[in-house]
Amino acid sequence: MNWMDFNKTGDFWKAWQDSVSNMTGQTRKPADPVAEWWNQQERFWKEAMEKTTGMLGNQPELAKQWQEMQSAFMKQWMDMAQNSMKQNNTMGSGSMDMWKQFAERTESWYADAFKNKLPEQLRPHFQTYMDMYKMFTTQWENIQGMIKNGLVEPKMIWQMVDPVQYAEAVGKVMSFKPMTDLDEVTRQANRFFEQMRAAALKLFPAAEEQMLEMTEAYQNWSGQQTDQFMPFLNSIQQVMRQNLEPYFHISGDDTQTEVLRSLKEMQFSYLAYLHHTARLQKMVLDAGARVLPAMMQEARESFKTSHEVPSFDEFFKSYMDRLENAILDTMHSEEYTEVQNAVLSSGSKSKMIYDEMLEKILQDWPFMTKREADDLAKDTTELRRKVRELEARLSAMTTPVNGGAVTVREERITTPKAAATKTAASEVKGADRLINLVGKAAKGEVDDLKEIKGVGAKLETMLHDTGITSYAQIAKMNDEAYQLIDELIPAFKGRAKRDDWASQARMLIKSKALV
Amino acid sequence: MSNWTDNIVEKVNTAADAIKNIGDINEVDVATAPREVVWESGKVKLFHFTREDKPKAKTPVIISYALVNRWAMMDLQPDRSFIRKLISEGIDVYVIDWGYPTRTDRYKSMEDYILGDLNACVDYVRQAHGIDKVNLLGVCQGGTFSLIYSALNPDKIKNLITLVTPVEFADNDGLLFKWSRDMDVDTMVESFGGLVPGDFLNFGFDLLKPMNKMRKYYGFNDVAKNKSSLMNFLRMEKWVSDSPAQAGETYRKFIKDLYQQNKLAEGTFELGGKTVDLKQITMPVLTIYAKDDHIVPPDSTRPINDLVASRDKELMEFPGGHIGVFVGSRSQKMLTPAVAQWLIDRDK
Repeated sequence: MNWMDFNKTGDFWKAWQDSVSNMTGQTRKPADPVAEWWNQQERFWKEAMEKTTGMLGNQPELAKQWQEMQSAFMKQWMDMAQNSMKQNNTMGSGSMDMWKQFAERTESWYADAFKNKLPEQLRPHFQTYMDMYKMFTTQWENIQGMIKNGLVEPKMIWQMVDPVQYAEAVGKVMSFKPMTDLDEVTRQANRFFEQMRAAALKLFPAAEEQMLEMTEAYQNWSGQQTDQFMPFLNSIQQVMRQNLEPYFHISGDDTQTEVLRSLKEMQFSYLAYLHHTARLQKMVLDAGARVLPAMMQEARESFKTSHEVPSFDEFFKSYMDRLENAILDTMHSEEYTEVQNAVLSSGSKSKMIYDEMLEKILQDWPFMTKREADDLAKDTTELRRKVRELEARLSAMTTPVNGGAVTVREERITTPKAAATKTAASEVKGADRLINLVGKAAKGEVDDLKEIKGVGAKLETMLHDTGITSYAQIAKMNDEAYQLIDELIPAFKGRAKRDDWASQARMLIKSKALV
Repeated sequence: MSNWTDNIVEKVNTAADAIKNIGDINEVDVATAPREVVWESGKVKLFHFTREDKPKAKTPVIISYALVNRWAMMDLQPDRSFIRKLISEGIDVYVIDWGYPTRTDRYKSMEDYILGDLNACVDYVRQAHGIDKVNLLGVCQGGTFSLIYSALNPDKIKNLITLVTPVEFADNDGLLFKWSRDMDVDTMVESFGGLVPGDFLNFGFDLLKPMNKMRKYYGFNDVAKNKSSLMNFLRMEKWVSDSPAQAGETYRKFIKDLYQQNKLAEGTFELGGKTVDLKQITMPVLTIYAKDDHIVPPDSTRPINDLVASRDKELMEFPGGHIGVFVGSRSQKMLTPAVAQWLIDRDK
């Protein structure tokens, strides 16, 4: 049957019913009915699940119908199987094992479907669970045999249970990227950095092949396909350079030196990261490796008197608890905290250097770099804060102290003029007091107040409005003057004092005198 | 022979049901209690839950959830919903949705969250209801925010409830506390580009009980066999994985000032140029902690009761863990009604 052509669930259903009817002996009596069912059903479910998984995404309605039929069919088939066994009273050779296997596999039929319903980030955890479960089910007969026969020395256990597979399973619990051969990983990383360095030496001025070389080096090292972004950027850059030389100057020698230095720094911190990580992993894996032998030894002890081995479920559940406790014990040690902090800090450092390096490479490109976006974010947050302050001030000006919603509105309607006048009056008064403190500027004495850190064009204009135009005036400011400025120009509240305008102004007067 | 054939029949039938149940799922829905957005600023929203009858308590409650994970935990499904239960017990409920910060929010500080958003939400509700004071219910980190806010604005808060809220960060053996103490948080935040990813936060919580994220799948076939248990399971999975990133600036201060220097409990925590003195909290305070909480252990929660100056204050122990407080059946049957009653009693 060609599954790709198959689009009516009914056809499929009928075809299978026919084939099952054939098997149940209506047209012929099978020699080994169980074996035949087994083969047929194994194929049926495999294909049905594959088909269904594909359909689920595209045609949910059809998929639903399909699932219902599967469900009904499965139950019907089980009835038939039981009847047939009663009638024939025969199992056929080797059937028992097949049935067992069959029963075990029922979970794997829908494990994938179940996994696909989990949120994407959690699917690896489910997979880890399934892998561990599978490792124990496949080893279960060995484990039982070893407990019964007293073969519970760690050496013996690791002959039967693959220690690498075991370590991987434990590592996955901690989401480790396995780093079993640190020397090899270190060699690879060093090779990568050497290639990067060679490429960077040739990169300025950039050429497409060198850029590709860097991408290739990265691919070899990480074993991952990178997207085509870098080569794409590079080709655009090439065209730009060819057409716009000499107006468009691509990174010069300084950048090259800086990039090379960054690469070296990054190499060291990355190697540190690898080594700390390996140490951390070893601590956890060592703890994990003690769990299974300990459990088997205990089971052996209790077998001596009870002559019973624990059930699989009991053993597996208890293993999960014991492994967790062993890992937690390790994590509670001072050494672990220390190593973990070293991993975090060397890892973050590598990432920071990497970001800085990219920043340098990309600085002449027509994109906003991370640092520029960062500035923007800072400004935005600052502006929001300012808006909030202003809103608060506005509502303080219009809201009576204990006012509710209604009174606020009335207040707004009836008193805007009065409030405005009042504010204006107090401003005049404040401005007068300020000038009394710092003195009037000499006629025509207008300094560039923007030279003072923290004063922009807008604030300068506002200062002018209050009569402050010269460094000399600002140099005389004291706390009282700062406070008056805060009252007069609330949007910049606290800034004059914080930035110590008076000292700045005195410095500016001095430097002006020198010129 | 019959034993294992029965076993197989059961397994195959389970598979048949499971396949059907799994195939049936189109959407995993959480947080379905009807609500409307009543206030909004940037990515932050204030939701008001709609209700048909008049609330028993005149003063509404604002829920301030943590910035970690989402408030959907409090309305996971209709029959396991802290929020729905509060509503049916006669409380008018608002919840602040902090949204999903992006890199543009990296400089958003605790000041912006607490004195900005939280304050604006409180003011909105005060105005909308024509009242001076509202009830505030803070959860975990959102509880710490609520404590800080209430200490700075005691005149706006009628009653304060904290759920599984950390306040005492010193002398704690919990791994989070231990690890945070020497963490180079500046470098870390910087390397994340100023935004701490939700996955990283989740990873940290996962490590506290490393097998939890896998152990739950034990017996997943039995879960899948039953439609409603399957949906419950998937709702929780959805919630767990729905983890917003945290604004770097806020995270930095939270780790440095609280986890590392324990400033709030020691009375030296500053926000917006003011020192936060928890003794300014004189309104009735209900402190709820979970006995088996491994994320925020009781040792870090219970001291709230001693740090505030309220005369009417109460410690309530919940038998369970950090999450059980919201979704366990005991939460639904005992805790939530008790919270509602506590608020109703103090509504005069």
